[in-house]
Amino acid sequence: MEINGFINHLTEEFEDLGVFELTPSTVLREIPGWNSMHILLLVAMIDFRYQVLLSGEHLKMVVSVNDLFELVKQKQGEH
Amino acid sequence: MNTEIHNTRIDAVYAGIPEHEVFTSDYSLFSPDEARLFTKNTGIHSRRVAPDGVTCSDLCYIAAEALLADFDVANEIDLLIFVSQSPDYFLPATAILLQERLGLRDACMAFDISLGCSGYVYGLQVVGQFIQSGAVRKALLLVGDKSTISTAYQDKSTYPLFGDAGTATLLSFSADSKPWFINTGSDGSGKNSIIIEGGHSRNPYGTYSEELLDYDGKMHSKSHLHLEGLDVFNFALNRVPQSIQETLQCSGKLMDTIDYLVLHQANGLITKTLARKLNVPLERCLTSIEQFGNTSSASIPLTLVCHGDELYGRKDISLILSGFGVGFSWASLFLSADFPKTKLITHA
Repeated sequence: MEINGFINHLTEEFEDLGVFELTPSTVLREIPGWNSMHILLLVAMIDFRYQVLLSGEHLKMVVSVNDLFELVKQKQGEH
Repeated sequence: MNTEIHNTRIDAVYAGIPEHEVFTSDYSLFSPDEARLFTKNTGIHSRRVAPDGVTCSDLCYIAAEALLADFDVANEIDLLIFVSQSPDYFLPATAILLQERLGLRDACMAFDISLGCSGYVYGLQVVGQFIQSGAVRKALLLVGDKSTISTAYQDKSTYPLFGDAGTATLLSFSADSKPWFINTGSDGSGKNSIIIEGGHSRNPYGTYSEELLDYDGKMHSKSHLHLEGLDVFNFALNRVPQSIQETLQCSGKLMDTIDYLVLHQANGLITKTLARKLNVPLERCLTSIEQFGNTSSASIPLTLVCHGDELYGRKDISLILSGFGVGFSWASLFLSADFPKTKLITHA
């Protein structure tokens, strides 16, 4: 699992938000148009692609794209 | 819990809907972009909203009245069950009001079941138990909700999501029917994820303020529905595939052999994600959410009605029905039977 591939998957999921370049340091809540629907899209994508189901408690700890990547990696390791 | 039901046939499924159609694009708290994204991801283009004074039982009534007239069985109904979380009164039970209003016999047993999105499958199971025991020959299962009475206009997480509908299903004893296989479950730890806190015994009316409060961006009062979408999403992804797989295992069938999956119409994203997890192509998932929104306990029977024109007359069609939501509560059912007669009635 690599950060670039992870970012590509996120970008595909959020294409409706318009042109927006995601980087590891992008703060999720600061993405223009970000709302609760995007959290569901993100959780669905991660469940499908990485077989990790994230809860609201997990996501409270996440600020940036890199935080999310590290969390998914950690959860994969717990499987 | 896994159970089997024998000798029970669904003869007909009718649905009653309000005339008033409300469009997602007209919701004033959504920007055009938000409305477009909401429709794209939830699938909801419009929904039906019952006006003040029209209850869920009124919608069930018009469906049941038409059904009883078409089948001429009012004098043969032994059991009426009303499944809803929007009854007419705290008491008496709405089923008893409907027994009298529909002109059913005094000997007809009538009671309510308080369940939401899992309620249709639970209702089928309870009716099926009575029928297979031999105590009941014909039953009416009335299922629906007026969810819009409890959503706050200011709450974007609930207001544009829910629609109103009531349904009536006629069930009969039939020695020729193939068995149903049902998996059911409950998890009360999810109680705060979908809840109306105020207005009943725990927090009676008058003991709390009716002002709108900010629940992490969701604006509503204690008398309104509170919904934690991510909790519900996680619950559905955790429980529903497992419940459906158990149902299939009990029936000895494989998912590939199922003609259609009829999931509770929570939102389009949940349907799509569950279908992907279950490896079922979307074209084998029947839906109604596009025109009716999330109709709570009515969503499964309403979905059957929406596809009645194309499926009525199909012999030995295999279906999985799966309801899941408030509680948390879930129930999945496999059946193989001729597709029942359906009809959609609009409340004028």
